[in-house]
Amino acid sequence: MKLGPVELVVSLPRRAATPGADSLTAATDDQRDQVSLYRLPPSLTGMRCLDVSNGDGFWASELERRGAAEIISVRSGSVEVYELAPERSGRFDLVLVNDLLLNVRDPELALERLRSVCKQTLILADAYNPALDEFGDLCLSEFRGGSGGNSHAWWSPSVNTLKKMTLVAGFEPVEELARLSEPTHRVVLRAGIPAVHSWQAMLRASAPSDSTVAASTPRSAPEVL
Amino acid sequence: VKLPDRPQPHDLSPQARQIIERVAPLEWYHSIDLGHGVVTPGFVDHRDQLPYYQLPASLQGMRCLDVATYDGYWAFEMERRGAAEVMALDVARWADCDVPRVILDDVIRMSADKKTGAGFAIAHELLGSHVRREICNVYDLSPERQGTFDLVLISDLLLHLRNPQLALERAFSVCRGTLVVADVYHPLLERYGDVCLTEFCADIPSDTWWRPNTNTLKAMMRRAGFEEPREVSRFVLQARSDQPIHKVVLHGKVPDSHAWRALA
Repeated sequence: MKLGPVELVVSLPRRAATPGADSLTAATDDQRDQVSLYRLPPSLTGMRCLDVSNGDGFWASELERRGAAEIISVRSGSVEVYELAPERSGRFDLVLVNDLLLNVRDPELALERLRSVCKQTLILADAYNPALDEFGDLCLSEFRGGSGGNSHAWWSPSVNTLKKMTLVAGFEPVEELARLSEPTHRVVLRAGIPAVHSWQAMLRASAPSDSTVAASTPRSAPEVL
Repeated sequence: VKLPDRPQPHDLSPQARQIIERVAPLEWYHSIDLGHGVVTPGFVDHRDQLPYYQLPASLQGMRCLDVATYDGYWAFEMERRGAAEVMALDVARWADCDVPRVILDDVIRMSADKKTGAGFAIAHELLGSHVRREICNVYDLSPERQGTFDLVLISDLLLHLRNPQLALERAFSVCRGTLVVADVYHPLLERYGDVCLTEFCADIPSDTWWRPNTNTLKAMMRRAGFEEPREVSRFVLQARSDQPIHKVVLHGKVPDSHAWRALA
């Protein structure tokens, strides 16, 4: 799969890091109300931060206000997210993501790319599908590919699904910080990067040195492509 | 009741014994009849369920593509039906499958990086087949590289892909006739009207990403560019699995306007 070159929008901290009057005017009341739900560290001094959001600058300015050493902004829902790689942008202490997964066709790839550049903490706020909560532990997602009201919407997952996708991308643990129903259904997740993943021990224990992957996957499942 | 005696080695013809000696060391995915009474001990056996797929009885003159061929059952079947040319697509190594990136290094370290195609090579030789095996990820299919095909078959693949929509779009790009999607669906998600529901069932380790309902498969095919898919059957796959594997077969046609463009 060939994608275009990455175009990262670099937003360097301005000297007069007042609570950015200009960016705050661009922000909606909802965004301002919701900042506390993200539980951002009060001080981000010395930290490199990645801001994946809709590009109105609200979150970048919030990170800046908290003293981030460097902020790189990527427009969420763009192919740039698929191109994130530590070789290109380095890694970030904090990766903040807003409303990304609904808008990408391959949300798991997007999460894997975010994982590759995340050094410490991921905070992810995204739309979820409240109707799917009724299915309990089953991780369901509604495919909206072009047929929904919003032509950009591809997948509308349950909260469980979002959590599991984040986990499978290599974040651990994944905790839910908040769930909103107004003005839209959104959930805020926080995830870390463990020194050792809980599955690593399991994976290695199940595989003698000369075995194949089949030894660690259910024998009954066909492995095709 | 007297059971028939088990076949003994001396009951077998020398040819059958030779074939068995070559087949036995491998782990087979497809049950393939190699002649002389020898059928490979596959995880799946499509032979009795062939009518469910409604493939054309004759593929005379057609160019056909078997996506994710594994041991090659479908490619050899299309060849048997007279296809002018059959291309059998596969990845080169297991690690080229959609493995969660975060375990890729572990997977390779555990020597799961082994090559694919051992079973295909044996069956290909013993059947005297002319099928061409092509190493290419389904995501990289393109008319420039592979040309276009009258029939494209995807069987039991989409559930193993992280991005099934992209795979269908690539299949569309090389299809000038019909796409047959014969894939796994989630029977419990069938009762919700038109809603397109899919279970995200990836675990670590796991080789399954998604289990969609049939609405989702159809919507994905439409979105990839195919005309309204025609459902031809649903059944439980004959497989050595402890869980029933529910399959649906969908035929999608490339719209005429697009097919002309592909030929031009």
